[in-house]
Amino acid sequence: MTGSNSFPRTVIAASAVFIASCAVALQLNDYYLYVVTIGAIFAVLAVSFDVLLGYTGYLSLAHGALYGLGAYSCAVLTANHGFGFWTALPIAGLITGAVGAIVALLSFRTRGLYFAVLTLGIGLIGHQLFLVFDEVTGGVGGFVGIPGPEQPDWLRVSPTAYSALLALGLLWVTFVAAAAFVRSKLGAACLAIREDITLARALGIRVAGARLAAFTFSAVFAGLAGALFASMSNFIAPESFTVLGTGFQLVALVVVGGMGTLWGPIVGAILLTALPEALRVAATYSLLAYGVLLLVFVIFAPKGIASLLKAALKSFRKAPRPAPDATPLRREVTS
Amino acid sequence: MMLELLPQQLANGLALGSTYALVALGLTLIFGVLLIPNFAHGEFYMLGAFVTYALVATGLNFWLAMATAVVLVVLIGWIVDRVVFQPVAAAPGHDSGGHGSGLSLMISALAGSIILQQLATIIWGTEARTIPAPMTGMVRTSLFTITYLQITIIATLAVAWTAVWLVLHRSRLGLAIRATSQNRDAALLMGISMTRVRLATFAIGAALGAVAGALLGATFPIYPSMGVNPVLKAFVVLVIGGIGSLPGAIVGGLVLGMVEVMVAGYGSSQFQDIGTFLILVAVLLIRPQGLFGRAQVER
Repeated sequence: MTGSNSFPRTVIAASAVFIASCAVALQLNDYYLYVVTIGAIFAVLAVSFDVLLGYTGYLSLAHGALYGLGAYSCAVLTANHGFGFWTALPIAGLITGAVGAIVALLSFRTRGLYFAVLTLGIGLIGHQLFLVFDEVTGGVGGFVGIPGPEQPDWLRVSPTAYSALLALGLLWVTFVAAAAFVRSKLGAACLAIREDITLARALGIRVAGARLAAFTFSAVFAGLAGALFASMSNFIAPESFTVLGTGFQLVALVVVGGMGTLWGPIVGAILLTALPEALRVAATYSLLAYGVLLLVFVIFAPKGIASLLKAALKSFRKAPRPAPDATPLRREVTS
Repeated sequence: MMLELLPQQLANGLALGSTYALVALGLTLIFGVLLIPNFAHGEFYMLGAFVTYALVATGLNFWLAMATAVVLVVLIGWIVDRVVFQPVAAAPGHDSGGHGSGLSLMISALAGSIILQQLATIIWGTEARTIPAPMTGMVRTSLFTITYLQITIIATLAVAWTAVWLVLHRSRLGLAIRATSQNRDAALLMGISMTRVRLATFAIGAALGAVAGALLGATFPIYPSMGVNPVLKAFVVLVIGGIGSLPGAIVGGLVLGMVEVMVAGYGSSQFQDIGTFLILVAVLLIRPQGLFGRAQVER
């Protein structure tokens, strides 16, 4: 847990990393800018998803569809109703959050496998609805001609660079908001739910409100990520929002990066989304690699890269001192 | 309403529902006995179809091909259990009692499912293929027509159900399996070999999946992600019938098949899948332990 770090220190560190990555991003060519944008959008999804999976202990497979809902909301608002990007973005987040809250109210009647199956069903219904309501969504053919985010005059960068900056900015906002959430009373209640829901109830913790808040939180940011994705790609199709595509990818990012930390999922997103894109690996092999990595991490390091890094850091700090071995213990036993 | 079509719809629904029931039977057995939410079960089904396809393409008789496929898929099922599930269940962080129980098994099952699917994609590509039908022709009655293949599928479900019932209730191995599903720790204390129970459960489950895949592959096109929908439907069946209940899997599967065919026939085929999951949502809300489920043990 990142509990030892105070909130202001976390914000300062996040801001420093944000400014540094923006400065680096501005030096990149268009292709790598695209990679940065996609990586940051998936990092937004992964960080907010971890609030639900890592901090509250619920595996939702509906988030691919919620991400899509944000994307389609933004597309319809900007392309069909003439809203600007900056108005459409928060509305898309609110719509997704509201639908997420309804999904949560339905799903939290169940737990464990039932919860996963129910959210999976909802994710599939969502994906089907994008296909069925083709007058609004464009169906299989996709939604064409979504206006890009409008750029202020004083910011003299290319549109692709602007998208990358927006995505990194959204990631900064998500990270800070998530850090605030997990440090709040609600966040503490979520941890209690993850550890032992019966005990949490017995202690008088408001279980229903806390997990509803966690689900809604992750839905709002999934919606914002979707809206930005729609606006920067100008085109969206249902195939981007499937359960086994995006929904599964999110699980992989969070588990490989590190459940229950906020920076782990970002590492996961960089490694699993940006890296294969940058190296231009074929989609089949990258999905196969996802599966293998996910399996390896679940078995050998269930807390992900974050736990490995923490352990490495710890042993590095302790290195000067000789590691205690088993001899004293053995002596104790034999004497 | 086009009532004169009803018997035909029921016959089609029975055949479709039988394949769902076959897949669900294996899934519910593995879940009920070993508490593994086997998302990779759909890949047993897919591999059953593809191995049969590959063998038929070399000129082998369909039924021999199917039998070989069943054996191969059982072997794959054992490998999946050994590589994907046993290490997770044995990992120190895995809690078998707490609230988050099954989370890591669920994630590793998803991983296993994706790995098998992508391996199949690398071997066979993504384009849909068809297995030449082993038999043609149909029975015509005044009310409905039913193909020989559909009859075979329904009969296979009856045979499979009888065989599984006999194994579970008339053999020492079945006794061990049932004991494990009731109380794993007590079963271990009674000297029941968990290895044998695991092997048997995965063998039966994988075999049922492979048979369903091969039979359906003779009717519908096959492709590497074909297992996704049936396994999701099978989970729906599990939830409708009650997790771990074998009669629930059969009845749930048949009901789901009927409802889907009705929705597609009288409504629109676009809404077929949505209808399925609306039933799921409804059942979970009204009766979360499923229609045949015992009072759900809080896990």
